[in-house]
Amino acid sequence: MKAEDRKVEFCIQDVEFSYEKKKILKGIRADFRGAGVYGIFGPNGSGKSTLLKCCSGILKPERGSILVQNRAVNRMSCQERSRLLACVPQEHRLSFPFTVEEVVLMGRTPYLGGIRGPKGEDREMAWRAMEEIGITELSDRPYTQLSGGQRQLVLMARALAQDTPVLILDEPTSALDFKNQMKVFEILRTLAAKGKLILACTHDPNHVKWFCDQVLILKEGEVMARGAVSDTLTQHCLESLYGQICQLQNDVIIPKRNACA
Amino acid sequence: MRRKRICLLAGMMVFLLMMILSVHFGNYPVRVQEIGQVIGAHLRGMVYPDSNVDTIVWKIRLPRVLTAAMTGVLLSVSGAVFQGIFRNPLVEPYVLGVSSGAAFGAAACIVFSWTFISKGAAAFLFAMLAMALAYGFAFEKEEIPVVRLILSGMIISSVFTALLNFLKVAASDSKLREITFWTMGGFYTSEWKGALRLTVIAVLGLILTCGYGWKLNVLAMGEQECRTLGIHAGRLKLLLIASATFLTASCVAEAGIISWVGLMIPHGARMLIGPDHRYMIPFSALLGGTFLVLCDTLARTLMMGELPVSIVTSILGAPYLIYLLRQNRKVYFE
Repeated sequence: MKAEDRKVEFCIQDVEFSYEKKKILKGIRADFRGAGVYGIFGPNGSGKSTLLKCCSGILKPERGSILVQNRAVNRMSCQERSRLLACVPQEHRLSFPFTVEEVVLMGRTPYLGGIRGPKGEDREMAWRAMEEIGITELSDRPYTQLSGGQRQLVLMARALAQDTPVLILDEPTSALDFKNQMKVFEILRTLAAKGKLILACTHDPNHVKWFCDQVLILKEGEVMARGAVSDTLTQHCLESLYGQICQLQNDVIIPKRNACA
Repeated sequence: MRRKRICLLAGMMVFLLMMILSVHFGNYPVRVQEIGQVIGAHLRGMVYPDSNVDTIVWKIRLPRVLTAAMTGVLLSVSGAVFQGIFRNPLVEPYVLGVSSGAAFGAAACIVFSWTFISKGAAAFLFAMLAMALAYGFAFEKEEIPVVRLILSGMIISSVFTALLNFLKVAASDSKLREITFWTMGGFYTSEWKGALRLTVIAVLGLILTCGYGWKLNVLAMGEQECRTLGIHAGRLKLLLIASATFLTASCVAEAGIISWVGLMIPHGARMLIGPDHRYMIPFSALLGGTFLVLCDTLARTLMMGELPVSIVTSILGAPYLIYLLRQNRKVYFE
């Protein structure tokens, strides 16, 4: 890994966004510096998916800007952006029955100029990405036949093959069972240890507790708190997000017994 | 990878064999050796001594077979491109109103007895116009959602069909008959000039679409994902739609509207060789060429007179597609 990749920076500066006339993001500001797993956390409708779409350049913020390595995301060409940011989408509508290897190879597209298809070295990169995620034995299967969890891993391998300093995941575990949820986050931890800056949004406070280095907590389109997980995701914070339904015990968020009684 | 290359090679051989057989068969069978001798003589700038054979092979059958082959190639390639763009295996090259536009153009030329333009050229112009209108109405802020494009194509198509029906009502009996024959499509009027023109277009079209094959794979994953993978989806879509429509319009202008080929061949090719467009597009081209030559041969040999080739493509095509569907349904449909 190159030296400049180690100090990867991702800044969100006063980002505002609205759908129709409804304001979804009301001036979000956050800095993420260096490798690590950064959580974007909030209840449904808090604007985290919208923020993530702005971050990945799919949506254009109305105000403010998003900078990767000090360069504005929406001022770059698609190709430049895709060499800095790799995205794992939340909803993936199935396409034709491409094999797993072909899907992962698509991650190499940003490096193919003009009308060139992937070459031997691209195939090697794709293969390494599949090894890292642990899906090499699936490589010849049509990805449309896989389970939701396996497919998530394939899309992660594709993002890995993109070889970018920043990885963005929208609800990476929302459709997965417990084992696969743990697996996905373990992989994210490993990647962070190897120097990637990972932005993942989630609505499960326990995932934040267990796997994130820092967190940005959103409520109704505004930043409620940001910083180290132990400082921000407190009993007080949970109460103001959800009311009196859960409590924090030994770093695990559990339901409050007397809430149902 | 290796399997795909072998498939392509086999497809190429079957394609050439089919063309030779098609020249051989007919009311006046020609020996295969003679076909070679006639071609050889003409390549050396001479004429084959047996003038019957020379006329049949060089003036009638060769241009006809070549036109049928290239029409099959063009329809299948543009069908493959359209299916990839729309991420839908049931889309055909006529989806943007191309066939209705072309039929209207040809009919207008027949009814108004236009002399400044040929039927084929009028069909071509109106086909391109239909595509441009459908695309223009669907366009909104640098993005075109697929559903809008399909709806827009349906609207344009129905407008041109209505205009065509109006022309049919207004036309005299003999002109009505001409319109009907034109819209059914066929190769009985093929000549060298048109055949060579289609060949050039087919070669250029294949180079372009195969070159963009990998990007088309990425585009088939959806527009947003395509952009996060570094491809400007809107521009790529416009380029591919415009060129695929051009390919379709060229062969509609030459041979009329031939149904089913552009829907079924790419579908079958994808099942046989996989969805990777870098291999699937050339394979559809070979398959489509072979298929249409076969259909045209049957159309002119089954009965004493000529059958419209679309009847043959539909009757042959449907069972073949059903067979593939049953064979691979687990791989294919979700």
